[in-house]
Amino acid sequence: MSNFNDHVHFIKTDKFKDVTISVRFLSDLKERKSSARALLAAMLCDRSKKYNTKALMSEKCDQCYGASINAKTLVYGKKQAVEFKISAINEKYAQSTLFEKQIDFLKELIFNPWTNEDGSFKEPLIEEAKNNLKALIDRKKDNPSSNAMDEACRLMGKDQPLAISNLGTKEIVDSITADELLNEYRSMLEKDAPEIFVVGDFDEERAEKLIKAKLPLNYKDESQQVTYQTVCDENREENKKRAISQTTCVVLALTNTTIADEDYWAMRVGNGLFGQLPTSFLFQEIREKRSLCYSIYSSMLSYDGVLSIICGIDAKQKDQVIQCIDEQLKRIQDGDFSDRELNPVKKMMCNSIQSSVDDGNSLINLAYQNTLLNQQETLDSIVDKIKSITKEDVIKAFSKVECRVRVIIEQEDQNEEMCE
Amino acid sequence: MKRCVNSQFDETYFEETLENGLKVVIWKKEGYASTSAAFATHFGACDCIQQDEEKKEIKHPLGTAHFLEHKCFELHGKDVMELFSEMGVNVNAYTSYNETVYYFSCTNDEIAEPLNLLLDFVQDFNVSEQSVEKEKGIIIQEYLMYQQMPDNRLINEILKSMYHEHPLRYDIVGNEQTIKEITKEDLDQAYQLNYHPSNMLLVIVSGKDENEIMEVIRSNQEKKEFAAKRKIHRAQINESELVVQKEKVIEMDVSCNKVGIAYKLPCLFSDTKERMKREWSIRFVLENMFSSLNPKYQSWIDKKIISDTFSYDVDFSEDYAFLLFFNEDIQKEDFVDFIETQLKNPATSYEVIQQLKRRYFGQALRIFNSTEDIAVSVVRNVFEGVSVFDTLQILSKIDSKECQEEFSKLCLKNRAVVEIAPICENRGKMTESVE
Repeated sequence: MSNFNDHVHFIKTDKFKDVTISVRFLSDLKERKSSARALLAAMLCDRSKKYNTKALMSEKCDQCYGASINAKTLVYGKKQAVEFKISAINEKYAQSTLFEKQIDFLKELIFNPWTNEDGSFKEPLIEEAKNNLKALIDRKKDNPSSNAMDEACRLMGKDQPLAISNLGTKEIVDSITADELLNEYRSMLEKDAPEIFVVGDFDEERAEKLIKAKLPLNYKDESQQVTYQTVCDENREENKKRAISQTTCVVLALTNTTIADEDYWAMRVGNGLFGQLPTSFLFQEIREKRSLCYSIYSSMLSYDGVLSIICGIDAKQKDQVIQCIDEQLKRIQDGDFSDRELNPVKKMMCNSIQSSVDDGNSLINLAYQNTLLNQQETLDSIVDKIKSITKEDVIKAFSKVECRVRVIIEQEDQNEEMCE
Repeated sequence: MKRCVNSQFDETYFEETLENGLKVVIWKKEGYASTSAAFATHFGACDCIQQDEEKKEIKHPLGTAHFLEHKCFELHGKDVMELFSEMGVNVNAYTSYNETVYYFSCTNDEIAEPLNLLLDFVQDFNVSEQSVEKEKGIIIQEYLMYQQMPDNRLINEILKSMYHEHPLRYDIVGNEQTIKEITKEDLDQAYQLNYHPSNMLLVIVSGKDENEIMEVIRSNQEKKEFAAKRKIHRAQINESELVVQKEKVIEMDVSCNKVGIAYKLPCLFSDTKERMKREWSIRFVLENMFSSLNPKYQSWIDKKIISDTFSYDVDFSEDYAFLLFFNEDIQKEDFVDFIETQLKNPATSYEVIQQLKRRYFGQALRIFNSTEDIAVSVVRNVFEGVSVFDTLQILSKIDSKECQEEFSKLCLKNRAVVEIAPICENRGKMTESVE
């Protein structure tokens, strides 16, 4: 039997007003499966056997003083997690049994879904989740920046996890059957690797007893490979026009470094200087010096070994912007920067990491990251790593960055239309 | 410093108004590693026409407050963001309808340096014409970014359909034309009038000793000289009770339509607490009727009368009030019928109100988890003239009879409906031929 204490994580602190419990089930990220999981999350959080109307669900939440319940899927490289989360105010501000009620509620959501007698999910439950998910897929597509980002990931990650959407397509969602959902649900409970996190001020002994009694999960000890390096051997490009007011430009690059690698923090520090922070080269050169955009930033898909750059610009200036992005990347690779520019980046990253000790969700995310990567990082150990990064480390890491994909969603030329 | 303790929520804060008129609130967060600071002026996008003590009117072009926010980030020709970054601190700002707020977060050990910088850069405004010109390209892209977000556009269009005179009808940033026309003189004038310490508020939320923080603020302010205090406030806006346009369709590149229904309500012109009480009362009734608390809610979803994006809001502000409903992927006429029918049969019950009071108590308590959330709520509340805890006090006293009375008083005659519809090629051509 697996060790309970390796998979149930207590983060004790008395500074928060509430207690948050998060249960995460980890499985492979696969097409169809990812959509089925997204549907499951929505269904299980919508109604349950005991609380089989929305009114009963709301009433239950309100009995727990406006407890918030939430279920969603999260992507980590090759893997996908389904998370069930419940936050309720600490019982010291309410009644002494609130913590237990919170766990009971979570148990009801995970283990007692709204089903028919044969165990299959109720049809209206499936139907509603499908409608909502399809609408969400549409909304994401409507938004030019997430549309461009999805297209870019699809282009770069052909046949790899990067190309798989967390939500899926409308066609896939439509085609998922009730049996498939039931199988997915059973597989989540039986085969997935679950982890539980509790953050707040609570009695550990009592928490352990309650979780053991009410949330019986199949903890798994074998560690799984979560990260992978995306492969893309050629340059790929896509341009399309839409009736929008601004042109969105996305560039994707391979970093050839993932969060599991030694030089990950050198890459992160480099990215801070390149495009993550408002003092970065991208922000300073393209926005502040040349007034070419309002929003521009780069970020890392840390589990896939990918760096993304996104900005909203005027179509007329796209060539100038793209050239400028390339120049800034080259500046980092050539070491065309000083310690005077690098040190503030390191300091800012350290401060932001140290501040996450004041945020319950950040604490859960760090603890989960440790279980995924089989690490024992603390906020302090990460800060130490960042502090030790030198200019040479950044140059070396960034020398591995290769731009591969460019997607431009262009505003239709309004002048042209008027001339017609 | 005056010490204020709220034992129910287990929160403590200190407040003091300095000699120069600056109000300071220091909120104590024992055990927190970080500090959030917000420096705010009671000057926002809706303050286009102001009045001084002699009732003299001063006009600001649309988007001035927001433009000024951008340009404040320059100190003696240097980029303020860079100065903060050198300290390892993240700084940012936002402009709302009623206020402009500059804020940063840092770890507790190094609060003095960024706090001094926050005070210094906001209290010094000196930009060149060239620098004002350069900012225009950036702000126009900001405007265009918001314009292409369908939900944002829907709200803007609803406000535009409702208001004739009130600046709510314009985007916070202005529009392409007004952004291009703003001058250095416009910014100077707005700054002189609205960034006097007596028109501002400083909020610090921190785990660090309050006396130490206060000492930093005091010695910073004592060194500076300010012009004489000048009282300034938003001029009263003569707004008709009627809406501008009852129905409007805007085509956008979206996959399904979005509909907003707004009821323009007469202004209350009462004090803040009274307004808040009435707003809460209406909110209770709406929640009772239109949320999952209503047993019929599920059947509305099943019959696709509403989608999961269905939402509503009520806002009773100082010089405007309205009720809003949103929905997606629906026939506009059906949605209007649905809302009109429901509004004729308002319902509240004692049980539901008790249930909601519990919910809001829990939600309010959780605001105190985050230093940034506290800072933002304090700014909003102080400018409104109430304390963060007043809201909860007001909330706890509302009963169902009051809710029903308030609701029945609502005047729901003035309605505006806006639809964001997917682009239809034929429709475009038809409009052309008519013209």
